[in-house]
Amino acid sequence: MEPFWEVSLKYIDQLSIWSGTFVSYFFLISVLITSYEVFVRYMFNAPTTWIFESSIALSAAAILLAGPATMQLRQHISITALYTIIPKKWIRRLIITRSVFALAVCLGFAWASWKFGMTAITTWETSGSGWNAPIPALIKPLVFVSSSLMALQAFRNLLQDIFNPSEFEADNL
Amino acid sequence: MSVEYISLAILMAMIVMMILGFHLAFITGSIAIVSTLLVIGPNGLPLIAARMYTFVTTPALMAVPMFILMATFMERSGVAKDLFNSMYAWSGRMRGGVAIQTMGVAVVLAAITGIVGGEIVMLGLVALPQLLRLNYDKHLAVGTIAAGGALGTMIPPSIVLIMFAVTAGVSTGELFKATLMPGLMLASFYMLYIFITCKINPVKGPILPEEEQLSLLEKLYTMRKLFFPGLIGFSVLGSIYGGVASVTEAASVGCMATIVLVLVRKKMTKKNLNGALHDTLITCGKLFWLSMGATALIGIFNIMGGSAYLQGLVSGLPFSPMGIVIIMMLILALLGMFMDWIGILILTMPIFIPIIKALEFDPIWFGVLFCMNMQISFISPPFGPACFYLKSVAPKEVSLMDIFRGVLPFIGVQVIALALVMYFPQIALWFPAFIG
Repeated sequence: MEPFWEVSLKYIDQLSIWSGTFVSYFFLISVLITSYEVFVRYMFNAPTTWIFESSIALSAAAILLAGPATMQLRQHISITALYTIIPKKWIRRLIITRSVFALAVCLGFAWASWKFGMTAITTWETSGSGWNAPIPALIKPLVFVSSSLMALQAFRNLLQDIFNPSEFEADNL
Repeated sequence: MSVEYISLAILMAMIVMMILGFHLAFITGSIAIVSTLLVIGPNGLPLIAARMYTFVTTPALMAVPMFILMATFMERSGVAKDLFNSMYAWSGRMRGGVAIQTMGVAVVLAAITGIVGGEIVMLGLVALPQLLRLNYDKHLAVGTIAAGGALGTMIPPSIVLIMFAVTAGVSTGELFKATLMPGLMLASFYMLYIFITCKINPVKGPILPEEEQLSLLEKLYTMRKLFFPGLIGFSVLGSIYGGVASVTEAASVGCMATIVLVLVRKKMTKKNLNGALHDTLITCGKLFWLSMGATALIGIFNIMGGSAYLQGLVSGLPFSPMGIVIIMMLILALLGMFMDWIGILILTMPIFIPIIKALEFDPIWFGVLFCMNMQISFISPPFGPACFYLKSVAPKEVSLMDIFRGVLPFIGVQVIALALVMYFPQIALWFPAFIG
């Protein structure tokens, strides 16, 4: 039986991976509906009102929730030139420092986007176009959701950096 | 605190954190949050979220995930191999022919994908083993592939160009038109370089062995495999250049066509579908979160009057307008040695573009220069991403040092091409004017 905290850390990984995999299909859907729009507009001269906005909403949702998944794979961009010249001991310290930093900034993003998202969802903000769908009400809170998920993942990465550093040292600088 | 000191403090903090290897998305984000708290207070924080939201919902950006998805499907369709094989037949009796032909394949691939990493991996897997088997000079072979793969940036569609267009507030379609000719010019310079090298030193580019040379009929027969990829490239670029569809629509149609191609070739397994979607997700995660952090920073920096201050500073410099452009190019090239194109773009362009406009240069032309400059950064040691992508698929006997040595002459060619477009903007601008 694994200790409780290790199991919960695995769940954090799973959550980031699962949410990322789920929204990655949004990219496919947005391609499908946009090409459908092109088709009906040029073939039947019958433009739709809903595709443009939904497509942007899908794409934005997927982009936002790509953050935690990218964090889980430690793929966010950084300049690692320094790590090739300093001793190993210092690399470890730096990596822990930067994980603390990532956690702090993700929490900052979540703090910054809390009120922004809440206002949109409680006032049920609509797009104000012809279609007038509640797209801002649905997408604006996602800035908060993905920042929080990213903070959670940053916390999980930090623990891994402190207690089990072997997993990342090889290639995931 | 005056704006000079704030700008200086931001710059210093950014440099220190970058050197320490922190994630760029969080460096820019942290500075945005701290500056907002200092200048406006906690009430200003929703501004950051609003900037991030506005950025991810920018309509022109929708084309980016679509082109990325198109490229990830293209990688899995095996089309690179077909392209290479059908063009291979034509390299025949000319010395250096296969390297020149590889460059041709690179141009076609660049016209159907817009991602440098993917293109280099495809070329590295397909063309490099062939070049080495035929005893081509190792350095010439890797240089050809790294430089050819980097053409994905220049030849539309290209993610770099879309992100530039959004940041600079110019039309993506216009930019696509303007980079076509400089891109093709660069590709032909590469071919010329390979041709001349092999003329001077024939050992570097042997001719095909007799048994692999085909008759004209056989050559024509192999061309049939060019049809589908050619059709995709033509439909994407044709609909943009013909003004039939917006860039996003063209991206979706191109992506759709690629999906059909993958289906027809029976490569649409569950693994390939999920893999393509996953790669797209992670590429977008890297690209957009970095940009979101930076867009928040630029937003608050503008509110503080930082951008106006920096513009005043630059326009006060005792240089001619062209001198300022040259300095900008040097800054970009220097940054390019250490940073990704996206980081450079997002951090420098909000400051450079207003200056370029104030100097009455065409921002589209500057976009072409930026793109050519990023070509250099893609392959320049010590951190050129193209070199690392190539290393990841190259056979063991090709070391990173070989790759670095191999790309050097191609960097020289790139610098010449960049200088030409700088002094003769017409190279870039005549084609958009020509097709209207």
